[in-house]
Amino acid sequence: MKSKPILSVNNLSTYFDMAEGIVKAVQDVSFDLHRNEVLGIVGETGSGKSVTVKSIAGLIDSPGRIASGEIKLLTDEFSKNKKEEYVDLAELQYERFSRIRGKHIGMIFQDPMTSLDPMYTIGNQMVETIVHHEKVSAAEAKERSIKLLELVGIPKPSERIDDYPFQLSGGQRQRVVIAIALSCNPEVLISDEPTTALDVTVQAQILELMKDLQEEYKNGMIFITHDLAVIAEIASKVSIMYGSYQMEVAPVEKVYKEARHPYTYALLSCIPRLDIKQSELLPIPGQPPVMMNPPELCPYLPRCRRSIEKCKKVLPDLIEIEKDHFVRCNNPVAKEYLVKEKTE
Amino acid sequence: MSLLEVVNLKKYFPIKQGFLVEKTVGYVKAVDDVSFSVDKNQTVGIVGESGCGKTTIGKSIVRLHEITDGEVLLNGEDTSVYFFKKRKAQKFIQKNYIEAEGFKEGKNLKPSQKIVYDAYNKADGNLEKIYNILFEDIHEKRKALRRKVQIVFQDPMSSLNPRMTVGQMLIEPLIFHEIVKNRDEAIKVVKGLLEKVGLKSYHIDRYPHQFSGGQRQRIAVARSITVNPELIVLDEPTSALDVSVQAQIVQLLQKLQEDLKAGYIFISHNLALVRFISQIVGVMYLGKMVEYGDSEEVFEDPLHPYTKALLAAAPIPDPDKKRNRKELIGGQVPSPINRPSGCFFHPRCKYKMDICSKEYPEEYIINEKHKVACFLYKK
Repeated sequence: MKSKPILSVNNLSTYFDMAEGIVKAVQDVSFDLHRNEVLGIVGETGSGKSVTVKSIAGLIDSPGRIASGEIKLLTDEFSKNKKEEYVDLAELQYERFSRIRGKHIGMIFQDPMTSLDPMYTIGNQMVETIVHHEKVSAAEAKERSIKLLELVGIPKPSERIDDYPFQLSGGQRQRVVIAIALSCNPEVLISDEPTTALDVTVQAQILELMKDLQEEYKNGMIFITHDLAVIAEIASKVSIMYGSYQMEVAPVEKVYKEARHPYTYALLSCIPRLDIKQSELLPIPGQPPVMMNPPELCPYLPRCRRSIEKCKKVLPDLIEIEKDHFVRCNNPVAKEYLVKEKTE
Repeated sequence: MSLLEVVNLKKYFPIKQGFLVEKTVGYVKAVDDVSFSVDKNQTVGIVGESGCGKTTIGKSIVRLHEITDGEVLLNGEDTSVYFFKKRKAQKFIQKNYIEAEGFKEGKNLKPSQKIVYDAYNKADGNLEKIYNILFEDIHEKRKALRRKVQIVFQDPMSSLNPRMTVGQMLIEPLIFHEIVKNRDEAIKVVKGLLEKVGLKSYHIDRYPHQFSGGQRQRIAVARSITVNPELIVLDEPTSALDVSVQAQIVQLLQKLQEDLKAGYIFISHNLALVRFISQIVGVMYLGKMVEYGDSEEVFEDPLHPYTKALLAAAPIPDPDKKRNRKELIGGQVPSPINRPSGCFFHPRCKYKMDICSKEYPEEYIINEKHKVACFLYKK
């Protein structure tokens, strides 16, 4: 029997009310996240992947708003008898959210340069998080911080804890951010492009560290990236986003071997690969969509090679075409076609 | 003869200290003794992590930086002295030519040496006169060099002038280099160019902000090919773009190379992309080229420990292929101001030996094209 999902997002839509019109950044996004599972969200710039997780963490500020949908988190934070129950984060008051953020939802952002405060030592910032959420003294919190720094691979943590962020290198700073995110052992860990600002050798170190920690802590993780190669490495389930909609949601093997959505399929054939010699890349023609007042149609339609008459009339739903494999398409790539292509 | 030959290229940036009296207290050796060559219709990829000097190489070849030392031969012609100031040029000629072995006897001279040798004889060895003879038509030479070598930058948001229309941007070089006779002809050429890079001819009167990132990079590419260059330096041309658009630009560049038969220097940190686009690849670490060779050979069978680590670290879009954890390295790139002693890579290297911390290895030749700077391959 499968356990209850730790986080369940249903039909989430986030809009931004701009002077020029409404920007529909995220529309109709649904997924479940279980304990010990890594959900990868892949998409190009402006596909809505960052706004999705910001909505979950309650970081959407005016002019943005969660227009509809629910974000249910399984937590005992607000229950009187310590029983786990679902809390809808979309409805949660701002004041109560600070009990969730940092404790039940940890976040790691892209640029460790800007997510740490340059005016405080890293120890200061770590202790602050722990003391805010748990009933411990500052001394205990500091001791725990040192242990965490050791865990994320910072050498001589008892000395480095008094360093300021500028004294650390980019990779080390990202390790500190991970340590802060893990400090209260959150059920859900959100990482928004945590390795994009790093060099490839350092990126490998950070990914290995995150994988190890995830195995140890067994929390649910949402991992955002635009890099399909990074996702293959870390995720167990992948959600492909394009133009504010989820295009395909499937276990990681299925995405790479049996991509059914034309976009996923095209995306995989236009990335260069390091492990094999390719004769050519097959680019996707056209440009990514503009999100200002888009029509109620599939956003991929103008670039799609498999579009049919029906596509010009209705927006397809996200349908489960196989077990755990969801696709939003009127004319998905047939399975026989995929098998044929592979054997050729 | 190669289109471009770079011999022992050096670019040092001085570190200055002091308020009223500035003193040079050291150098950042951004590019240190790098040699490679590019043929016509060939793409040479340069890879490395940030701070390894790959962009500096590109800028030095285009002469956006004045080089510190070394030779940059374009079609066998030494262009290094073109942008030097008088005293530096004289010193450079003295050191690199007149004092070179066998120069005064005039035997076995390379074409670039021949030019200086003729001037040397004409001027009876007087440095001042040699300079005057060599630099007589320097302005034309500089102009010609600017036409032959072009560059495409990483970020099309900042490399295009926001106050100029696409037409203005593309017409200017055509008229400056006298490729067309008048404006009307220039407009015709520019419209053709826009179609060639996948834009529409009516885009000519638009400003950069009216385009998307991919389209802007197409404009930057169009600008670089207006003057029929022989060599194009591509400095991370796709790293600011989404993957679906990246493939478009790569395809465009390949198509243009077929037409122009130009040599490309493709600078990138994206290893997979470099493998795809280049025939020759050079791997850089802290200003030095650690491995250089045929692209397939380097990626299939990397020799230098750093190349191995780099390839092991790069993720692969296939969930079945797990990375080779054995080759992964810890630590980060050291500061280029205080580089480690001996081989710069030895503090992170898995195969280090005693000698590695003492001296920098020379380049060991594996085969005709493949060179590795590592003591493991010392014969």
